[in-house]
Amino acid sequence: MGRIKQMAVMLVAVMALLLLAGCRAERPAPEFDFSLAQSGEALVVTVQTGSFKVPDNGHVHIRIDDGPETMIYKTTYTVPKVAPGRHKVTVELSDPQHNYFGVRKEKEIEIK
Amino acid sequence: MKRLLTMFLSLLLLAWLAPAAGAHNLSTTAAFSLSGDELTVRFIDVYGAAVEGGKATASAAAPGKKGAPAPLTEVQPGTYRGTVAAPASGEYDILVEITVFKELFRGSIRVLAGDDMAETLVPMVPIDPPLAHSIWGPVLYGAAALVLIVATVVALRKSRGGEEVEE
Repeated sequence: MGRIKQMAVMLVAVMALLLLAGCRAERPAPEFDFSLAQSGEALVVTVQTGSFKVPDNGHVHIRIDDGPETMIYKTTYTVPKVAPGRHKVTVELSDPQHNYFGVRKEKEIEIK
Repeated sequence: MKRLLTMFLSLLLLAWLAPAAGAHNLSTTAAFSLSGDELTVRFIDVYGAAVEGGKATASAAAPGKKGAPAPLTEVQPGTYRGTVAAPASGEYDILVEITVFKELFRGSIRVLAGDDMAETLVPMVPIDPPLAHSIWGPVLYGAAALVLIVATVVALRKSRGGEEVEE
């Protein structure tokens, strides 16, 4: 009987752990894309996130020219003043805890 | 039975601490300007883009003291304005806190009573959730991992040594 009780407790523990692990397990990366445009001196990044709702499902992390990371809670990001020349923009989606989905996209734009 | 419970609680602690380890440090800046009692804070990110949609408060108090926070209103994208109750004399600190979708940022600047302040850049420090960057996070994580390993080794030895005695 003692053995059965122990096994039952272990089973419940394993189930609870599986549930916890499931919460943190790798989820399929959401589909997304983005476009870059120049508006005067500004650079406008527009992110299309499909079924991934921002900010409910997470947010967007952006880097420009491998610089520091910034995050936005909407799908349009405007950098007010960007120096002329070629610039690289990196976009990645993350969940509300800043965990990435493992998909990063890069694009370049020539600012005139 | 107690060992199983300890193992389970240790795993729960590990699972609870794990998300805190992923907390980010995103640098942001605010431009503070003061005209009389009116404070304007322009909150910008590392690329100079306005940080919109935040909830901001400001307080004024003598250095080392805590003032009552008053709400700031977003008057245009990324620009927040409100009134601070500045002391009549001496130096005081203006403390601004902005929450943008659950991320809290805090910045402060020391000013002299009666002086206006032209736009001045102030670094806004992200305030992480408890345990994210404190010494207690790794300590608790290590303790939980240790308990888990010891309990597993003891349980394995017992099971190899024959029937386990029920507690």
